[in-house]
Amino acid sequence: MRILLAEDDQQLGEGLSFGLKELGHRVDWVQDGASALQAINSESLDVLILDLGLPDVDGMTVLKQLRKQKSDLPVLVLTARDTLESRIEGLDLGADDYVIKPFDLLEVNARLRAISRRREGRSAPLIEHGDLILNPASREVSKAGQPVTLSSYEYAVLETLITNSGRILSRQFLEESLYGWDEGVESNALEVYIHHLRKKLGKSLIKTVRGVGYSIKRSEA
Amino acid sequence: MGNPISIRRRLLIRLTLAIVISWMAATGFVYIAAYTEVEEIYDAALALQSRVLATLMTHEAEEEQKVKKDLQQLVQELGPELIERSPLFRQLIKEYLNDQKEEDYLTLIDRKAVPGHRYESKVAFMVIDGDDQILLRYNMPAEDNTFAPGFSDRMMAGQLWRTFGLIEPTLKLRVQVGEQYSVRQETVEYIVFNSLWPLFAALPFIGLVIWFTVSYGLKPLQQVAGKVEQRDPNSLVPISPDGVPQEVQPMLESLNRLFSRVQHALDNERQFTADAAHELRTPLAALKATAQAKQINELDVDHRSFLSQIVKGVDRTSHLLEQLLTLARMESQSMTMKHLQPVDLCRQVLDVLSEIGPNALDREIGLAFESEKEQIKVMGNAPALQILIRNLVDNAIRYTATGGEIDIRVSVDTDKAHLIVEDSGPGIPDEQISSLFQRFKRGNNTKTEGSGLGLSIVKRIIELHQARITLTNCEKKSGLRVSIDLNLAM
Repeated sequence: MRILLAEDDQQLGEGLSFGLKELGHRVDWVQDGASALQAINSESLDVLILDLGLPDVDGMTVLKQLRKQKSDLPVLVLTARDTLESRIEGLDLGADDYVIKPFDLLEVNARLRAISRRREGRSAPLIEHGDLILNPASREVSKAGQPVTLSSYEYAVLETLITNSGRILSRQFLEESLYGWDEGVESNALEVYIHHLRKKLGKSLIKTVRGVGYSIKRSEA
Repeated sequence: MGNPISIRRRLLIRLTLAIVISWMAATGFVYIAAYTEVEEIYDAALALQSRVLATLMTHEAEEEQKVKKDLQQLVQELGPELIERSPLFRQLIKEYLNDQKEEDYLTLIDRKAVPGHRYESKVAFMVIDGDDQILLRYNMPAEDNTFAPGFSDRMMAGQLWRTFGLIEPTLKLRVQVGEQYSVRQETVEYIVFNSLWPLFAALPFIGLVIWFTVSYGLKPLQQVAGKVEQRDPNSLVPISPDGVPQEVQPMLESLNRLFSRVQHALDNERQFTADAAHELRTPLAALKATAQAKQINELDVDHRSFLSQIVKGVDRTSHLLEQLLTLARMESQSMTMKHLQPVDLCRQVLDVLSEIGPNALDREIGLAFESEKEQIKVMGNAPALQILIRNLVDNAIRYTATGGEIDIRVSVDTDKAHLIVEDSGPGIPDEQISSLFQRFKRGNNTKTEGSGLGLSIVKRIIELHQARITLTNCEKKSGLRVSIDLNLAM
């Protein structure tokens, strides 16, 4: 992936660009907003990693400028400000995702991949999670290359959990995403689907948080 | 602080008191003036009475002497023989010339015969002739026949009397008239009472007028108070001085100055925490990114482990930094955080669990939440409660080994909600629990490794909510049990 990194901090810039190169990306590193804008126009890039706290032209301005030019370059924002307002502001201005410093390099990598996947659009619709591969178009699932047969409700539960991996989803949320609002549901139907999924895909995949809901761990790739 | 003073009550009391006192002074003056005037009028009347009486008496005496003289002349002119012929004439001569008349020649009309006035008993008079013979007396006590010329006061039959004595110059008749002082007293009292009672009768009305006038006068002040009261307690926007009376303007101005100073201080502090966060997070991010980057293609096991240590160190520092920032933010927002309102405790627990629960799942720690009811409303500040719950659960996750369990329970009794977090970690030895709690209570917990800042944060939030925290070791399991009692929203 060809990445433009806009980060003014010398040490962070060095570490991050080194790490991303180690992970197999091509990285161009600029240290101020003006150069970032220049680089955006001249290079063919896959993604921009943008620190909001750049000197002279700050990150928000770069972002605004970028979207004004109708560029659909994916942007991952780095921010040291963890206030909700600054996060929302960033997303409102057209950032695709954000990470808060100090971040995990592997998480940055995962987000980059997710962003570019989303941006590339529906041409690569496969959802991967560990050794599981889901095909939302055909609703087919394979585990370690072997196809697994799931009912449509089971598939829906699995997809919802995997696309929200790393989060705990409440029973209510899952049921609503399955049936819509007013369909009558048997109270333990969800438990049955979870039980089937565990039987077919392994016990440890779906975690129960009693009293809260279900969760699938973040993918470690 | 005692009862707050009421301007209205103060003004009402002071003004009414001032009015009553000035009226009482006025009453005094009226009394003295009335008394002096009544004294003069009555004295004059008394003197006049004695003069009339003397004149009447003198006239009577002169009449009598004239009759006597005429009779003597008649006797001389007619001769005794002629007089002897008429028995009536004889009788007359006998009475007048020989002074054999026994009765007073003036007799008062009996009070029983003609109705008079009850005050007649308060009037007395007496006429004495030159031979100390009492010619006429009315109401004078029998034993008191003394004569005092001019005006004087004397006690008679237990009453104080005003008397006037007059000596008639031709016949030397002494006329003494008297009148009880109580007559004048009553008159004065009557005058004073009648001129003053309408004033006092009007007093409640005047009080009412004062009350409403003061209320009217205070209305602008109440409007200002209303303006201040209706504000969002967290708002530091200046109060508009429109329609505020000039007397209150200085107060409003200094209030607004205070608001802007506080706002400024808060902004500064917020800015500072944000800046500090930024300044501190960036080098940490650099350190972590560098260490992780080196780790990727590092094959040497020792080097990998060193790098892992660095990453762990950074994570610990970040955690501390987050705690510090939370604490600092809570200090700067303590004003807004004091604003408690009904908050669903279960909602807060669920929000926190869905946020940090995955951390437990990543380490294969079983997490369970149980609540007595679906909704439990407590008096609280939602962000602060979330920080509290996050701290407790986060702490539990930290101290629980892989494969352990954390139970979070919420229950209610009459007026409290209980939030209980139990972990299956090592717990804390009993003797340390109490010291931890002591230190915790004194806010001196700098030596409690790892949990120091967390406890400070928890402590501040507990104080904010007037809640109670109890730390015990679990009975069945090994771990720590933290119990928080919060006030239910009524």
